[in-house]
Amino acid sequence: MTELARNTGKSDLRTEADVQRARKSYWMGVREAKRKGVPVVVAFGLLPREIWYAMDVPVVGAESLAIQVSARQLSARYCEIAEQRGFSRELCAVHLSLIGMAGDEDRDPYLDQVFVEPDIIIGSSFACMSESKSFLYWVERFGCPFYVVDIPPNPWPGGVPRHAVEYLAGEFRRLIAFLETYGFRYRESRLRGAVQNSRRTMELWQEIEGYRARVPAPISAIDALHCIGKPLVLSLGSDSCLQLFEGLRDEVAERVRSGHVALEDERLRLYMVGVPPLYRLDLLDYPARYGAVIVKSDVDILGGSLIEPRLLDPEHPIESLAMKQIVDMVNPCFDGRAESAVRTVRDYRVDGVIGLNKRGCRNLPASLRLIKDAVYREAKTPMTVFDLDGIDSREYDESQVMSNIDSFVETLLVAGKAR
Amino acid sequence: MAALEALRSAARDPQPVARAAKVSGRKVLGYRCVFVPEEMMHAAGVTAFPIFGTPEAVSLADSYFQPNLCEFIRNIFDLALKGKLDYLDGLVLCNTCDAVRKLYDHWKSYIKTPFCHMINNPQKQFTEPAYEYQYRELAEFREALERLTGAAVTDDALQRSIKLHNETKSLLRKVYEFRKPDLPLLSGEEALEVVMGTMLLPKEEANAKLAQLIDELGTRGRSPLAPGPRIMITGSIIDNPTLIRMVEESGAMVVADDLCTATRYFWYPVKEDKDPLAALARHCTEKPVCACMHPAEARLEYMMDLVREYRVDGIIYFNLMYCDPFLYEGVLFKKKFEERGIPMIALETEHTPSGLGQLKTRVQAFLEML
Ligand code: SF4
Ligand code: SF4
Repeated sequence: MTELARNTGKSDLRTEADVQRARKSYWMGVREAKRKGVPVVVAFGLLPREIWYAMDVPVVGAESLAIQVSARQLSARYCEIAEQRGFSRELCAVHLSLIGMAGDEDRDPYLDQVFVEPDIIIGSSFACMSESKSFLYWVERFGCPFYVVDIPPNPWPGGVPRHAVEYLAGEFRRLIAFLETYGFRYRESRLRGAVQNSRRTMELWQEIEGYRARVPAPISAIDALHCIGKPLVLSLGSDSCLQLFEGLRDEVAERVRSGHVALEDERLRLYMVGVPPLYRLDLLDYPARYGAVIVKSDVDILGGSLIEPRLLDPEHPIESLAMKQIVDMVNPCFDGRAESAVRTVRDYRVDGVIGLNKRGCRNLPASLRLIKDAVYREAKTPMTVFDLDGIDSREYDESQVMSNIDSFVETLLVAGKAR
Repeated sequence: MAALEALRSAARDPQPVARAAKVSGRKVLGYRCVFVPEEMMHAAGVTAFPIFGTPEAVSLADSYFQPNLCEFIRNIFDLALKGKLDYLDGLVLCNTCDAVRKLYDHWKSYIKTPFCHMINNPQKQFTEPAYEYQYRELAEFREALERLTGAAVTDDALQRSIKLHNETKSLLRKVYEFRKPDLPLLSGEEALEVVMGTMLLPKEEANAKLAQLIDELGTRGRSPLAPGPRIMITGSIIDNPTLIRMVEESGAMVVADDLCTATRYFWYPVKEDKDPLAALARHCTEKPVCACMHPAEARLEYMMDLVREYRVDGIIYFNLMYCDPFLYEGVLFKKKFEERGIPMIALETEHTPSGLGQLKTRVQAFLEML
């Protein structure tokens, strides 16, 4: 089995076109700001976009840049540049490619088009050592002022304590004060509005997930990447992100009413944990040949996880954002990561879980066994784990990946999991 | 050199030390690493046992962790899975690297000792908010210990422990003075084992041994090393002397180190304050010894102080494979050291270095260049 089933990697939701337009206008806004002399910020570690929005800060999210470059199959080039500068190949390709991009004098035409040199860098300790360290290379390279936001992991079994929320809220306040020294204006009312928008976006996202849990699934993992993950990464908290979610909710509801499904004759439902190959997204469609649909994947949470909307209180916007960041599923030591996988398996009636072990990442891959044991113990659902670096294509072996999927899906079929 | 031998043999075989503590009826808590205050455990009447790896190959842990996670951590988890740490009543970790955080998750789920606690220390140092946050985290740790032992950890007890541990640190500093002469009276290999032995032994006993060692070194007369370039070793954890021995056998004098099992452990004393918890919180947020922390500049300055104090000619930076904080820092700091006229070589190694031959060739080439 060497060719892909549908070979699209694209979404056929109408919302996708709206997302594309919003993204284009976002990036044009950043370039325009640079042209006008407004300082451009490069931020590492998925910090609250609500703050950027409330202060009108033109921000390039470092991870967004890495994702875009990977989607155009350019990561390998930039990883190699980082390796030539002495960084180990064993580091995360998101960050190796970012280091390579910063160091590259001769950028490829695509990157040349989207790259904006930073005037300010914001680093953070969220959610891994690579995030916490790689931005220092950018600071060296561009000689910009920088600020580091310290984000506590979440090891507290009994819930997040007050002092942790206060500490992170203080970190966000100090970040705001830092940005103010560069001429950005903070208006609390605007941040409240952004948090209100985020809360509403979370409610809409919950509704959408309710539809996604239906059998057969109305949308696929690829749809979710384009229409959920991407807008959240870029602009959660903005009016435009909220409108995209309203549009998406309506469109998915309409699909459900009209009986439109992601895959005709759906027989198996899969959940993919980890980053799929962003440079070969059509792989997400590959299991379709077996009547299997990936109903849920981690590309949904590229921009942060779905949290209880009531945690976002516009009256306490900064504390809400602090709480949101700490309880994010990606934050280390969170028991909820395995519990959430079990809930996903149950809620979406998942028949099998595929876990992707990304080279260079010491975060999720080191939790895959915990997740595997939890979904088996709590939901009697099998999980397979194999190596796949979703960012760097240099070691991507398509036939191996396909054969891993083939054998897992065949096992599920033999086990009588098909509907 | 009886004290030297006693400390070195404790370092070589840590388990009897823990088992002896266990037999005495005290609870034994394993811990990692330099941001876990031993003083607090000592004041709680608990034995603080620094967990080191062993040269044993990892086997059982391989089905829990991907092979490209720090081998030191996989090694510790492997020992736990094999029941070789069964004398531990629990584990205390702190918020440093990804691998340590994952050890915490896995320990809770699969080892299930009665106690497992993570001190969620800030990763930004030298700020008042970080200090206040650390203070709260230490207060929680104190309460957790009190629940474990059923007895209060009083300020008095804590103050006494801080004094005792400061004495240890000060004695280790005196021992390190013997590395400063043109021909050091203590080799790098010996120094590593002295510190590791000290970390393992009950501090009352370790202090007596260190005092005796200072006398022994004062009359040693001859250096154990042949003249050569003065080297500082830094990087990821080194919990076995093989690498340092190899560097010294290649013709270097290892006169200084910046390691979790050496200076990072003892370089900074805790202020003897009337609020001992505040003193520990200050200590944790003001010792710039770890590559996981910010700001990096503070750590660079601390390392440069070591370079000056020990008249270092060159730095060997040992990166354990997959150890992200040091893999990044190594590249960033190489440039900084070289700008300050200190040559540095970075070497990536496994936890139990098997391919020493190739490393040795590179070390020799580096030493020749100095
Ligand atoms: S993939 Fe892993 S290592 Fe890379 S940025 Fe994400 S969490 Fe960090
Ligand atoms: S050696 Fe590196 S990765 Fe391993 S525990 Fe220490 S800091 Fe973490």
